[in-house]
Amino acid sequence: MIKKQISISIHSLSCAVDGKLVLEDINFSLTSGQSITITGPNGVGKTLLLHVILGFKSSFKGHILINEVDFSEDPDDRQEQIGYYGHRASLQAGLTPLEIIKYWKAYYNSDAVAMDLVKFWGLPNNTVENCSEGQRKRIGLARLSMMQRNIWLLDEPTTNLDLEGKEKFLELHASHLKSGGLSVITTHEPSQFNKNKMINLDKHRIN
Amino acid sequence: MLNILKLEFLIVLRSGSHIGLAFSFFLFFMLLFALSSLGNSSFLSGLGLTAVWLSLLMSILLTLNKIIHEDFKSGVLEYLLISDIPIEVTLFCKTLVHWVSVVIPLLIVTPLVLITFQISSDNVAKVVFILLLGSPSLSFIGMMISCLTLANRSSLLLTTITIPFYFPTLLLGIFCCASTNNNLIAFEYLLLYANTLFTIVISPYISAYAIKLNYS
Repeated sequence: MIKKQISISIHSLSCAVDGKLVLEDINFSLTSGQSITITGPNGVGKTLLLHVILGFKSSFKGHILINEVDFSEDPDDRQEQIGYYGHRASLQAGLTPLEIIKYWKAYYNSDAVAMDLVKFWGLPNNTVENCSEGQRKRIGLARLSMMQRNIWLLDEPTTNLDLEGKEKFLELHASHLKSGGLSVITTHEPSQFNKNKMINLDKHRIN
Repeated sequence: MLNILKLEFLIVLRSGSHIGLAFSFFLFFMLLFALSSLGNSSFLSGLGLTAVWLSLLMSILLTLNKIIHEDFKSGVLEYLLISDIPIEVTLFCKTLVHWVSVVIPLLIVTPLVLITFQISSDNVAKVVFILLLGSPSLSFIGMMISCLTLANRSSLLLTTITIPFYFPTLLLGIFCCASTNNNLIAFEYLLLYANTLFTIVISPYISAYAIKLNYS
């Protein structure tokens, strides 16, 4: 998978929810191969920040630049370039993991082989209702790997995963960065990720 | 798009309890109408045409919370929004699948049910044909309304808002069924077809707009 060079910059981004300022003056920029880790206690606005970048929240101040072009006003165009992994598994009830992978394969025009993904992530053959939370997370990660997007927004990707699952995720993430992608990761376990670029939304300081 | 339709069908079939519910509700409602007229045959055949549209509408209203709300609640809609397939196409496919899975089974039993209303067999064929061409707009209006009330889980609100939007289709449909004109491209029938085409075309765009508003 060949990816183009890509960069994303967030300039003085602020966002209020119900009149209360949650995100204030967030700044960072990333280029191909880089990742940033966002930490902070529950409810500090980590998911909100990802939703703002993803275009699920249009009432914000500041600018979002992709490849030096201002995409602040075009959530639709932004979404075409972003791969997203939410903290909820977001899977259709009643389907098996293989069927879910086939479903998203169609929606993301992926050329991945569904069976290979099932094997790689070690997914079971029963319906999602009977899957554990960790197995659901694995299906979500399989879906992420099918989105051929340069920018990844990952919301607590490693929660509920076992050691093997974490290793597989880190492998996937490393190959994403290596092939020219970049990623924004929110997490409560920052030790596994890039410590050079890190924002703690609570202290709101860039190290 | 065929692939997407296939996958959406699979989902509906796996979680298809609402289809049985709509089906039994439709039969129950129709038979109740038939019984309530106490065998007065001239009254019965007129009532049958209204009853069939009303029962169809009620059955569809029962299943509306399945059309998009589940995807919204589970978060699947977020991934559909950012996918490579335009959300309008996705919504069109979802509505089409809803119509085929919920309404078509009802239309298949409609001839049987209409016989209890002592409607002649020629008329039964005409009524089913008109239902077939008129009912898609019920599903497509349902999709628009569901998308407009995404964040509001209250089904009472959904039903109250929905009913007036259905009036044009209902009135046209009942009028066409009762019409004695056997030329199926007469003015009243053309109006009904136009109404169906119009809703099919605008529904995906309005629904998509409503969803995007909800996510902003």
